[in-house]
Amino acid sequence: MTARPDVEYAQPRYLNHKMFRPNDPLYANQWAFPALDMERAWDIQPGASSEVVVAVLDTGVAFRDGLFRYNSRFSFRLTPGGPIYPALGLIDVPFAAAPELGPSARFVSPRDFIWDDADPVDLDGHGTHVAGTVGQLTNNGIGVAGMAFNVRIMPVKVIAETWDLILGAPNVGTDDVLARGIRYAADNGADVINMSLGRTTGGPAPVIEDAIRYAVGRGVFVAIASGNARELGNQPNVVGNLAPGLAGAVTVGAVGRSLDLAYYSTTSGAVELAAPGGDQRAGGGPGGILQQTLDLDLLETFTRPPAQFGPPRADSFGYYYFQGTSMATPHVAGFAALLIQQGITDPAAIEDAMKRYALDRGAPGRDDEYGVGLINPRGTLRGLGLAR
Amino acid sequence: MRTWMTRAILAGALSTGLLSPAAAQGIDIKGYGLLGNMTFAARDSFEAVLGDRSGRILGGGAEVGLPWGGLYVGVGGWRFKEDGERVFVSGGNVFPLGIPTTIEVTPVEVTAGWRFKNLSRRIVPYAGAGWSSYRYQETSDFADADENVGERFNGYHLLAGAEVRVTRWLGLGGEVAWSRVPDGLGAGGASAEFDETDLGGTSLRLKLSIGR
Repeated sequence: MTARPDVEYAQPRYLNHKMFRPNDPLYANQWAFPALDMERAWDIQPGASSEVVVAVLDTGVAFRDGLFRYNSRFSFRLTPGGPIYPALGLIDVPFAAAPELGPSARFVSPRDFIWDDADPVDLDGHGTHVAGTVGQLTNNGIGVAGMAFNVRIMPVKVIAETWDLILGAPNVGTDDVLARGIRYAADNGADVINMSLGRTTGGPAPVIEDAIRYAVGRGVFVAIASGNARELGNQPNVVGNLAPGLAGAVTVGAVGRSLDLAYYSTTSGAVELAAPGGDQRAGGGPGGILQQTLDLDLLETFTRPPAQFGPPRADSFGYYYFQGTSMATPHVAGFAALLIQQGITDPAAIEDAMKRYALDRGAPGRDDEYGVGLINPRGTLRGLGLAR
Repeated sequence: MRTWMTRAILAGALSTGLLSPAAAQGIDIKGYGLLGNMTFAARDSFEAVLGDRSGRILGGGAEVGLPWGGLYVGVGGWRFKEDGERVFVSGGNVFPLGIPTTIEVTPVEVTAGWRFKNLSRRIVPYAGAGWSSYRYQETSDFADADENVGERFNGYHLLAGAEVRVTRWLGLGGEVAWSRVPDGLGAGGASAEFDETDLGGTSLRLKLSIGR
């Protein structure tokens, strides 16, 4: 060919494709996404779509604006022998939707099983952070990114945290409340349930097991945190312990930036997969998982001395590094949403796919630290050709 | 493809013309083009990725009738090329993933056989067997260079058919060929999930030949 006068050069017809890297300015601080090769995974499946609904069963989500009136009727101590905080009486607490979670149309069928209403607002920050990892608005030039940034989010509040208790919520996060939340999500169109929650004390939880079985039976994939008790007796999460027996539900351990097991991540026979949850002991503050959530300085006024204690504000936001299997689990939930959008819709098949392509860590094969390994979104989304 | 087949026919015809003195000495040479349908033995794998385990093949080749009864040798090739999509297989269920993939199979077949010339004046049945070399290529969107496949595997084949002489120089035939290509598949992908290792299959072919 080179002998032909009209040919300057020849080369194979290599196929070019897009290379997605979110333009969110704080994306550079989100080490977990490059560690999971998400940029190439997003090339294949860019953030799922609004057809996929991920239910976040947590402390609530900052999903709406509003002014809510509460009655703080009792003084309290946060710790035995600690200072007494006064009752605040009637207070108005301002709420706002987290700017990085998107417009109200993004949220579907919100439900609060702690306050028994349809306004599962977040009085803690945990649920909003978790929801961000699932589906933070991405490539919008603002803040940070999320795994499945086009999904719709179903906020379901099943955990009562400090403010809920201070303000006298009628329910707390007992097994029956959690089970109601799971069934609610399954009955109201959730495709994925994220449960960054659990307990390490008490006996079995058949009511939760039945609810998870019900959800999986209705085609819902369930991701559950393995727990953060590795240095606290390493008691397994009772809720997470249910997943290994259910095809379509997985228990998730956490790795840090080095992709080694996080110091807190509970090890047990129940751990099935690992995902980034951060390890700030090994990596300092930025070794955690960065997401937008409520401004904790304005929210957690109970961390101040009693004289400075006052009503919280839940209408201001910041970017925070959190760590925990709570942060690892929404990576898996978001990953499940991407797989559903890609065509793997059966919960058992989603679990199978995640495990088939997981990157083995620790001892060869399955182990109690990483389960079958670190999730591998890009490899899983590519699936199988005929011969490779 | 059309150009490739035309070239094969012309090459056969040309070689026939160039070597026509040899024909006078008892060596028959002809070129042919073929159009057919290949049904792969790896049923589940092809159906999963391509939606069908059968597809059209186009090819051509040349055959030489040797001066010992009906003995002949031939070399030919064909190409199968179909587009499909990547999949995930779980518990026997196939989940299409919407990622375009192209499968291309290009065998070269060397055949020795026998033509039963004395059974009929116009219809010549034949049968043969030989060695096959299958080139297998698989390309997908979003693939790194080392994630695509381009390999060659050896196998063998059996064939039988009959040719009708339309004119002295033009023949029309039909044949069925069966091939086996051990370990051409099964190392990965859907074929590993279905434990299908044979890249061969059965093809039905129409052949238009020029020459004697």
